[in-house]
Amino acid sequence: MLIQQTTIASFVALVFGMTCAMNTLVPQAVAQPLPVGTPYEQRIELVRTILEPIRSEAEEDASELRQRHPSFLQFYADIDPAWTANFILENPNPNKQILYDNNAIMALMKHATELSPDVIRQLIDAAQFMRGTAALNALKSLPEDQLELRNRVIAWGLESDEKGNGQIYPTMFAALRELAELSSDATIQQRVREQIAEYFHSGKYLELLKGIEPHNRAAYFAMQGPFAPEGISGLGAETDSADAHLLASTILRNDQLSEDEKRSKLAQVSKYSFGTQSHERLNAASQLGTVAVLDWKLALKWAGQAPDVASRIWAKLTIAPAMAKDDSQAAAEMVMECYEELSNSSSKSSSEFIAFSASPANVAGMGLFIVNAICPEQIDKCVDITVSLAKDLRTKKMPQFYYCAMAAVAPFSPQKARDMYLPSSMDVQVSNAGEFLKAVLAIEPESFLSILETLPAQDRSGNAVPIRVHNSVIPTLLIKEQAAYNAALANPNSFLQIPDGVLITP
Amino acid sequence: MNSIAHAMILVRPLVLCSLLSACQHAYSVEIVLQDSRANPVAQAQAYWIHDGYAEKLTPQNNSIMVPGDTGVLVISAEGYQHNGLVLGNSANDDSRSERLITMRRLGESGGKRYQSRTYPLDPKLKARLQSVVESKCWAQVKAKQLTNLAPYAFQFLGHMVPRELTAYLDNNSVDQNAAGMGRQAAIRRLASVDPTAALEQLDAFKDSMRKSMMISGLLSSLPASSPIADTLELQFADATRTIDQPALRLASWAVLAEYYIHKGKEDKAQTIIQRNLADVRKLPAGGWSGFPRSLFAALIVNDQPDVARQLVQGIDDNEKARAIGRLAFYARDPKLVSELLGELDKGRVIGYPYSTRVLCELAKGFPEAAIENVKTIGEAKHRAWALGLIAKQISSSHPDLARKALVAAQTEIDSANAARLKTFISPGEILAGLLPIAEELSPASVDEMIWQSVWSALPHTRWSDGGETFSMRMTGVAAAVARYDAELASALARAVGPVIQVSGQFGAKDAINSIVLQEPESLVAFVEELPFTGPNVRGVEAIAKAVVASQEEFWEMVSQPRFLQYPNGKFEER
Repeated sequence: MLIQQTTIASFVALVFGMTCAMNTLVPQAVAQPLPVGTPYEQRIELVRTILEPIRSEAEEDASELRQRHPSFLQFYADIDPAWTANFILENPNPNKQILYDNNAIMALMKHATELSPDVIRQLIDAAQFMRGTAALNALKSLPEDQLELRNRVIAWGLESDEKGNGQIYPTMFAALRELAELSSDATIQQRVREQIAEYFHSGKYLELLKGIEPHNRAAYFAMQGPFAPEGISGLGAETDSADAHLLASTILRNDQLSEDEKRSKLAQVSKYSFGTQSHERLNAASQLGTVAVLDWKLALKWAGQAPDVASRIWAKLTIAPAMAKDDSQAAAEMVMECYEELSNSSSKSSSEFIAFSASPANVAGMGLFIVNAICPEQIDKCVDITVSLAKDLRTKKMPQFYYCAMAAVAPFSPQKARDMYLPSSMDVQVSNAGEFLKAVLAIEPESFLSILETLPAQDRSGNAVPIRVHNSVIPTLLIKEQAAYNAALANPNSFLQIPDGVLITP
Repeated sequence: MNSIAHAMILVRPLVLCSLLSACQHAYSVEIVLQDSRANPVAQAQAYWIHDGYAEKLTPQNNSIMVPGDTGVLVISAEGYQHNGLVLGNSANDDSRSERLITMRRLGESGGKRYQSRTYPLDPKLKARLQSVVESKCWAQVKAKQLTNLAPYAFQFLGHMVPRELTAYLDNNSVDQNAAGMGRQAAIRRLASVDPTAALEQLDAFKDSMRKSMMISGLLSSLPASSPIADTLELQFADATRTIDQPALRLASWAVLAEYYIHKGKEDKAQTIIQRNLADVRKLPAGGWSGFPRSLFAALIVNDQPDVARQLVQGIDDNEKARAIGRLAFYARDPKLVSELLGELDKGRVIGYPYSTRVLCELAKGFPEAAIENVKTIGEAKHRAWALGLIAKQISSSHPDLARKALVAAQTEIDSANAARLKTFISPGEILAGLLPIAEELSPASVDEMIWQSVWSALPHTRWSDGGETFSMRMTGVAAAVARYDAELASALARAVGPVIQVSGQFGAKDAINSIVLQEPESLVAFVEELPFTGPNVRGVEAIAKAVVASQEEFWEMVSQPRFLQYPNGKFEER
């Protein structure tokens, strides 16, 4: 469950990144709009159909809904916010320790305009220690002219809990401070500052940092440190070498820094660490796409230090869009060199890399979206390389990567994707049903529901199959941006991120 | 409209190329379905197996249009026997564009009669294959002084070149487990040709437990009149006495007692039981000591059933099915057997392999009870397998009941086809494994059963949880069918793709399937090139066994589905 939540959270982050990406950086003239997949409105209807039996079951018997279908309320929030809000409020979560409802409340807050003020207030209350974040999410969707309601939401977000303890946690700092800044009430602003300062002075903060492994401590301090009063240190958290996590939190996503300040801080980083696990390396490679926006030459230098072929190639591909702004010819050449190298990669280097995160075929597959943006005239050649790299995956116990590769090919060559699909569609391991169904959405969306209906209720070990599949497919279906949706169908994990500005929705 | 026209411009060259190339080779074939009175048969379902796929076709009334002229067509219609057709089977077929299939109603006679084939390898080829297998394996090991092969590789060599291997093991530093398995195989082989040499080899085992297990294995494979049996029994008892660990020692005594019972030396077995039962009852039920408890329980189940059941209480979940299965296998009271079967294959206790053995044993004395208790098996396809094996067990004593059991097996296979999840082995392979039983009991049903097997290996559901592919499942059916219809078997093998794996492992069943489905020359060429490493050893070993097997043994190897075994009267091999 933890893994699922983490994955969904990462996924949401990825989607958010993609959503922000649409109108920045890459000159749109070079990018070709992707073919339209299933439109958002139709996808919402698909999700409604999938979830209808659960909704109807919930109306019959609400008692076990959260245990039986842990993500249902979160998914259904986008389908019918009023029904979902009503359900949460009328059937309070019996076990407050298990945060079944918070993801749903965060999703509901995006629909604040469709909910009454009283319902918004009650949902913010139900969010417990995430009430600040819930209020912020509601503010994002409420129009500026609803001044009074916005002020009330800010106040609700800053209220102490029902016992008046006002206990806060580091995860609340950012939301509380942002809410306080939005509030025009100086008393409230002062109270929030004091609450946060009190947390640091109480010693809880040092306790917290001690419990975090040194590798992550610097990143944690980077996130929480700015809230600390004078004199609070980070328990030796300072470091001159950075990994993707630290770089993001201290420099790249640090709103306090100007572009030039970010560049200057990047130049001081002596070493960029790719990590040891393949997912860490992919994440680090993806991060270089953001570094490249500030300084693509530095990003390229770091890419050259990647410890394996596939993450080095993915790093270069993510750098290419930023590089193309300065020298489109050189960027296109670099991209083609990447595909050349991928096509010659030995099976040894592939298997060294794979280790559950992705295969070189997925690097090539996700790279197609970048090729399409930089050198669309080369797309056919790169599709062929992707297909060829994917060929053996189906039979080598890694069909999940094969399915993602064919979903990647689908927007650029529907026929080739179909040729990949046919032989793979007779024997699908239930453990890979989510990836397979995402490929179905990319290639044969009209068959999606009928295929979904044939899923067995349980696998051989008695584990529920549909829940696992819903958790894999529904978050993708609920992505609003069409191009981001197409790319998410092809993505085997949340670490293989397409750089900002590449995905252009027609 | 514009966009369609635009798209057409883009796709035109590709489509034209495809059409041109297709026109040169492929023909559509119309299949017309009728019953034996020439009435049309509508509402049929059809699959066309070709190019590695099974494509579902949609019949129009009683006509099926097959968009190609090679592969295999298989048809199912409610109320009718399964049927099918090999396409492109005759170069001079002038009815290429339209063919007629006559569907027989359930129970209707008139199916094709088959003459089962003889062993497919001619002696010359057999000799070549054997020489390739022997020379390449041993030559590789000697040339490279290999010591890190998998244990079963040494086991195989022990069987192939026993004297050479034991000398090799004496002089090379091979892992104790691997060397032990190799030496055990060598001892078994030597026991029939040079008993003294076999006995001498036992001295290589210094560990008492290992030695007693070696002797146990050797004893169970000795011919009845072997001159070394008495000596081995004494050595077995000596080795057992010196085992330090009580649970291991008691397990070894139980194995010796079981051997004595099997040889009709009840008094000796009883002495062992009486001397050790009290100690066995003191062993904890969990962990490894559950094993000697279950062995002793099986020894006393008919004299002291309550004590026996007590002994298997509390055994770890992963051993529970085997313990209860063993108890039921040796129990003679059908009521007790029935109660024990009720505890097997329930919930997450996977007990169907044991249930099947128990039911076959029960069928010897109580055939009706055996058939009645098949319902204790959870999955329909495994119920079918059990029913088929019971039919075989009682074919001489109760032929009518046996035929009924076989028909019930076919019905269970139909239920299994409706399952939403494929697990490991397809209903088709299981039914094909029952073909020799159908041949013996009701030869007229073989034709329908062949087509039902093909139908039941189709991907009726796309979801699987066992790691097999359509090609593997249909190849298994094709191999079993080869005994009766070489043309259909070969067409199926061609339709699902290459049978011999060019990469990855070459397992025992792949090897056996290859012997019957491949051109002999290509099989020899393949084995010549095959590295003698890893899982390939199993395949090479299977070929080695096949070339020395009798007719009956060979076809048993061919028909036996993967992961399942025809019963051999023993609860399990040691």
